[in-house]
Amino acid sequence: MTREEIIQQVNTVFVDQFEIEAERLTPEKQLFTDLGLDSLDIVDLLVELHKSFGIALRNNEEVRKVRTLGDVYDFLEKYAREHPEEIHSAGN
Amino acid sequence: MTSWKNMPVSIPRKSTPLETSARPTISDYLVSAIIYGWLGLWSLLYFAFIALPFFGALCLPKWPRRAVLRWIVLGWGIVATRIGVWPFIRLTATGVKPGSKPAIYVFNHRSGSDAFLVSAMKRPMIQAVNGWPMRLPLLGFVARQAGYLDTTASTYDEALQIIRENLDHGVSIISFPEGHRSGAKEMLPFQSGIFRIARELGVEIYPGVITGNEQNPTRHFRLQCGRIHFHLLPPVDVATIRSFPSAFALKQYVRKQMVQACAEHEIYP
Repeated sequence: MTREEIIQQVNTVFVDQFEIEAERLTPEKQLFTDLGLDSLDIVDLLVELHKSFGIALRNNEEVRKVRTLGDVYDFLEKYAREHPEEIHSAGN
Repeated sequence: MTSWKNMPVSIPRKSTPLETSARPTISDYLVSAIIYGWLGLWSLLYFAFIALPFFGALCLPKWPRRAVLRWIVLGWGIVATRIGVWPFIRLTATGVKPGSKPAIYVFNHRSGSDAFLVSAMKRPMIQAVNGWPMRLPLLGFVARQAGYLDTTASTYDEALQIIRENLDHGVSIISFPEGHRSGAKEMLPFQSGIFRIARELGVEIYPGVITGNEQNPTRHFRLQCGRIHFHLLPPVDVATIRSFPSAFALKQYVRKQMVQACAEHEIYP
């Protein structure tokens, strides 16, 4: 998966499940302070990313370091590079 | 119901509770002391009046005891906000009436007075509160005995269970999803917990707004003369609640309604 595909797929989760306007979804946005998510919303986000990308994230230590939307993109890009067989794009 | 728009709100600017930049004068502290004195006097009279049912209720089993104490707390709220601070602080209330079915009521949280001002609904309910009010000597004891929910002492699953039990017993829940006092007109981001619970349990949400009390009392608990307005919005029904893809989307929807209602009902624009 390319970074562009990952960004599009992550943004789709935010738009569809969290009803956040696509224009607000820029990499520097802080998940908590800028987008208004709290710890329970993060659990929902991980569930939705699991559904979308097919990877279990809840017990992943690296996920705990995520602060911005850009961190989410970076994390998934790195994961896709290291485990290309596990991650899948939407619709696959 | 009386509309706040028909009421005179021409308070001299110098006496509005939004004058926070200026250092409080001795007369400001004196006014605060007078209001607290008046409030304390009425609270004492009220507690003298309800002492017998209060101590009697403590001997009852859990649910009847809580029911009696919720009425006592409601009575105290009404006495405090309608008589105890009058004529220094005047409360007006508009909007829909609370429904007959138990529901979740969510309010903005500008100051510590919100917990008393929700008595404008004239219905006994429990509040989901932070830990510190539960540790106050008298207030905390009454709140615990009335079955108030300490959100800092419960996990999500425990809070869900407590709220389910209360709803099953016909008790509505009041929550302040900002989590703590904003002290300003701007609404803080909402926490998702109560919205997730509403979705999970399939229970209506009544949003409400309280305006004019952003500095009444101040963070240092100084009371000032002024007006406060309470407005309850129509409920978000269960079908609408469940139509949202996530608790986040629901909380943003409710928050947007409340921000708009605050703008419409702002006492000190």
